[in-house]
Amino acid sequence: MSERLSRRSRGVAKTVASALLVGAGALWADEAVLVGGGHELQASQGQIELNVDWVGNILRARDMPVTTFFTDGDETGPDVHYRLPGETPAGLLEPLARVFGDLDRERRRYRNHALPDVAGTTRRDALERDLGDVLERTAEEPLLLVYNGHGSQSPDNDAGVTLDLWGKTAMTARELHALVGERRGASESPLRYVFTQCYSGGFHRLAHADADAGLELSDGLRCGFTSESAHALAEGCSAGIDIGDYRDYTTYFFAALDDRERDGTVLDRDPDVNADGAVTLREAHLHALEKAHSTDLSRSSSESWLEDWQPWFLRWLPPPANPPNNEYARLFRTLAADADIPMETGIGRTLRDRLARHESSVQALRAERAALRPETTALRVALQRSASARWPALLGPYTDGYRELAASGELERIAEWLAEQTSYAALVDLQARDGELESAVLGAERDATRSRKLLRLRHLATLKGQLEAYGDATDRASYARLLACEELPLVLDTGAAEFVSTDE
Amino acid sequence: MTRTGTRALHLFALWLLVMIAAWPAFVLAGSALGAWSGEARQLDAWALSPKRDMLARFLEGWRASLPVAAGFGALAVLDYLLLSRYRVTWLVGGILLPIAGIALAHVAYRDPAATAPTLACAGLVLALVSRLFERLRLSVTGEVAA
Repeated sequence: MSERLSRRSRGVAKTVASALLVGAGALWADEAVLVGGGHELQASQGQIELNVDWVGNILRARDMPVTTFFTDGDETGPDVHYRLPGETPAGLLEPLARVFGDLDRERRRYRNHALPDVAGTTRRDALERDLGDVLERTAEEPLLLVYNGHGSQSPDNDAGVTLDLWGKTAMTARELHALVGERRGASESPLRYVFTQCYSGGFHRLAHADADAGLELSDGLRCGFTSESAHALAEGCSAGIDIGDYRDYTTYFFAALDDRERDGTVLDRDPDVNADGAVTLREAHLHALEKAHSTDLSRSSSESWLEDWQPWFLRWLPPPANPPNNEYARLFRTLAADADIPMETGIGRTLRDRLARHESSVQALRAERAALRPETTALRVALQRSASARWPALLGPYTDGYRELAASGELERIAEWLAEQTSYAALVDLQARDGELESAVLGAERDATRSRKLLRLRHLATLKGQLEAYGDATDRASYARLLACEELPLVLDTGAAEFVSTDE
Repeated sequence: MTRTGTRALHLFALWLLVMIAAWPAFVLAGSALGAWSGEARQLDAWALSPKRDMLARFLEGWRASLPVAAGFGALAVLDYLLLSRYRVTWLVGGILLPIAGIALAHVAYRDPAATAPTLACAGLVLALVSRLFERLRLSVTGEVAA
């Protein structure tokens, strides 16, 4: 608690300093834009809505004006689905859903979103217009762009990854790059982004002059964070509404900025690494890297830049036995200690062995799950045949015969009859086992990702050392520019002249 | 073709072969040593990134390394001219290539201790390639080694 108070007091000191800067006319009126929701109802999970709501509240609590674009905007009608909590009793028709339908959908409910002050829809044409207006209006002000939703992979180029928007529309990283360039120009006021969707790494091209290729940074100051690379799925997007289950990048990243866990409890680690009283976006990212036990290999624009920068004569070399001591090496040591990995010679082989073990575990669990499927299908088909022999109208769910079944209350009796069949209990067991295996696969994938993350941190530590040793002045300046942008706190209260990286 | 012409053609072919093989040998050596240490980034790139990206990086390196590779090709020719004359020296033919690799690590890299093993191994691979080429030449021409 005292640590919390200490952090709070530093925060107060920072606020006082901000107030002094306001007096000096140095305060920027920074804004945030939240874009969220799925591209259609069945892909618009409750977690996305809860994420957007939670992030919006964190930003508003810091007096940051927030503009929210969500699914269909303010149109009435359902645009979000969520799953009933686990403790909710099974519905009367659950046996029918298990045998004839989709058990997951049986526990799914639909409603209109409950977000306050939604400015508009995320439908591509409207979003392009409205987001363009915001980008232009805030061209000389800092802007934070946060996306919570889904994304799709690009078959040929990182800049082709998409934001999957309402009405099954989409916007590629290349198109957003063009929009930002057109509306914001070469503004030195930072545009910072947080993209948390699958394949989000492609959006790091926003920080570059050319959306498609090259290391040169954009004229305008841009930097950000993504939950994954341009080639991997991200964790998250559950229909569950139990926030304790969430392990997505948004949850870890914004918990660090909010200085508390999502459920309101105190963080067990102070994200303010340099103890200056303000958590920067980069500190929040490093916090997420340290705390997240998920399938995400999240990355910042500076890390993405470092990976692209590595010159040809270094790229294929084995890494040094002892990487340079920097923040990535320190994070590696912390995470390795947490995972009980001894810091000894040959640690790379230890990690690779662990990774192989976890990956083979994933494969074995997937194989077991795949083997269950035919058995489950056979049981369902047998039960369907038995039931439809007695109630033929069951085979035509959108017919008048079916309507009569439903209207007479016969569906409940059929459900009871199904539940009494001997093979029904076996089906329930198989479906429960399927769910357990799904969770086990996710757990094994998270364990595998931890090994990959450790290997990646070693690589980043090496890359940073290589930049210092082999990078020219332009390279180092580009990297420092990205770092300085990432190291800005959530709410900016300093002028552009202070964009100097405090990185060692 | 005259004997001088044949010899010039052989030396040119040796130069070209070593120049072309230099970058793949470097990548092979670096990847093998990295895989042995468990930290080869190539392993993760292979699993997590599109293969086209790896191929593009490989080709980029091949093009960029051509001047250095040409030097290694010339060194292979020099090595052949110097060491192929007597049987005792012919036996160690190609030795200059790994030595040059170690020298390059010391001249071009800030951390020679980390890079020298890869460049030495790459040099050994090139030496092996040049020896195989020599064996092929002997079998085609019917000549006997010095």
